[in-house]
Amino acid sequence: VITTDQAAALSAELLTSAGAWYVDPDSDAVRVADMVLRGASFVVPGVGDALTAVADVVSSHSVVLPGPTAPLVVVGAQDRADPVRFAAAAAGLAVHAAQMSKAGGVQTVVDYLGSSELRAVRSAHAGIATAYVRHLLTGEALTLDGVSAEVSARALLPLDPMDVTLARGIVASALAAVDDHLAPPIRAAIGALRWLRANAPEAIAAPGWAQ
Amino acid sequence: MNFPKLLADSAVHDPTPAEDAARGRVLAAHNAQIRDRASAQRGHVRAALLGVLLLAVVVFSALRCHPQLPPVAGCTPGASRCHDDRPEVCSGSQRWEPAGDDTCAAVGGVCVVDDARGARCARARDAGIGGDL
Repeated sequence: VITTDQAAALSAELLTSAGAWYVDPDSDAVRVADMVLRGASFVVPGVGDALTAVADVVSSHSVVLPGPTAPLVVVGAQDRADPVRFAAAAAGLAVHAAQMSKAGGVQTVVDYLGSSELRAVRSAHAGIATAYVRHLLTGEALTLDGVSAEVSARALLPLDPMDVTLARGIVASALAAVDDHLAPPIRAAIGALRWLRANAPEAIAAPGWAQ
Repeated sequence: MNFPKLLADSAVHDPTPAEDAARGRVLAAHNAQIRDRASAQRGHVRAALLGVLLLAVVVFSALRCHPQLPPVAGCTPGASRCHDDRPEVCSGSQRWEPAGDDTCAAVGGVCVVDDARGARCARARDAGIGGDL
């Protein structure tokens, strides 16, 4: 079983490799920022309410945000609830962060919000990375229906039906590689397997993947 | 107010203090009107410039920041292929989309296509060469 410290180290490695800046929600900087945002509601009620709503969303959801020099990744409270979920969520976020590092914050947001097809592709890659890391750490079987449903559910905006089919095709290709005992060709998934083999092989629960 | 008449009247006799005061008030009011008009014009110019700037930003954003989709390839939706050692799946808009963000070589495999499972990364032994991650 992966420990909380190991999950945090794995997450930091994946997100750093993706060129992202991981924002620890428990860090002093975030606590101060949160206090300032919530305090603003007393000073400027209208603006403060909006800022408080933003603070609530950021503290409860896992998000990748465009930052001034690198993507900012915040892992929400639900995904930090247990080490497996933390590591798996970080793998998915690393996929989005890598895309943002490569294409730029504005272009990534335009791609994601402006095209159901691109949203399907990126959600599929992220969903596969998340499901694969969870599979490594729990041994839980990966199924085409299960992972495809998770991809559609995790997309922030709905996918067009034909793009749901596209995402399913991408998932099918990745799971075929896993069936052949290869990591999916997704950098965050590959990075997670390498890190776990090197640093915490005892945490790999899926049979045959520890070496 | 009749500004030219006031000036003309003041030219034919020495103005009294009351006339001086009245003329001062009229001049001040006239100058204020000119300032208001100039200020309003400057406001309109600023608004117009802002509008042009916003329009330029919107047009620039629309031209530069559109979703960057791959070119339409005319493939059959749902079909798959290997391209540069990467599996790709044909989208509903008939574009080839990558089924990953890395090559099959990165996981110690090669890209293969078979009728039953489509394009995927497979162990290199399936393709007759060695390799493992």
